[in-house]
Amino acid sequence: MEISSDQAFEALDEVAQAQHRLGILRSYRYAAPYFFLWGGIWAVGFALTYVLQSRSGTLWTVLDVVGFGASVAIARRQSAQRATIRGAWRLPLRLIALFATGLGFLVATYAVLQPHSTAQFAVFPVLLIAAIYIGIGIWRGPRWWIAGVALAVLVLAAYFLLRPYVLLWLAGAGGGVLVLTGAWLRSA
Amino acid sequence: MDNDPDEIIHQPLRLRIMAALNSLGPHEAAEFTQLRASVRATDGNLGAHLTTLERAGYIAVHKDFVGRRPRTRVAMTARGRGAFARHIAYLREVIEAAEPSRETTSHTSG
Repeated sequence: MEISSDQAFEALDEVAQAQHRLGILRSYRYAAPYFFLWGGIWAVGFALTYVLQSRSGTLWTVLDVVGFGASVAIARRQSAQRATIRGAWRLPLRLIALFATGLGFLVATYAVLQPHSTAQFAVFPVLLIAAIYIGIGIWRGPRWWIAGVALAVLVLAAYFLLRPYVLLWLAGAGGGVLVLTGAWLRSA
Repeated sequence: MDNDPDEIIHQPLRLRIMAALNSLGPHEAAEFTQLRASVRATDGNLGAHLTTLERAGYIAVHKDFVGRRPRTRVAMTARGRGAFARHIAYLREVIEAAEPSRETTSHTSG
């Protein structure tokens, strides 16, 4: 069997494309449980914040700790399924680093910009997360950036058009977008 | 050439299947539906080529149930990884061997 250099080029290109496509599909599946988890946390958290605004700090501390612990548990399980024992903590450790970076960034930004309304406090992290999804989507598949754009549009519309009800909107629409995105990613 | 082409792997769809599976870790498997989407094949076509690769000992197919839903997972064997690595090495050799003539062509045409 003789293969020309053009055929060899094409074959190597096919190899790269097939690997890239499978990588994207698998990243969708791995991300899905986190979207379900945090969609639920957003729905509960923003709805309770609307009712108990004076206790929102305590409320979100508890919810974030629960969400963080559950995320690490999911990551630990996924690592154990897909990797060797040596690599079993790689994903959870990256997740811990990601959370720490995100939390540090939020605290620093609030300290500098000093938002003065609950709506501003609530909307900023959602916009930040939407931007992160769009950024991930540029490299890791269109479903990420579509979710990011949907989230950003919904939260901005609520902030400018329905500000008194923005917390309820974030609970329903924000949490809903995450849960629907989770279902969409899982179907990949 | 130090390597020879692998006639089983060289078929375009089987090459894509092997490429996708080779990107997984040594203990990982791809679900049939994900593999089908990543190599852009139909159920029947993918199934036929998986059978060829399985007969060659390049892949292992595992079938089980998740709840009531049947699930088919496909993983590459050590033999398959070796054969794929050799085939890729061969393709690179073909390209490297052709590079002097490509350069000559581009110089003369440019």
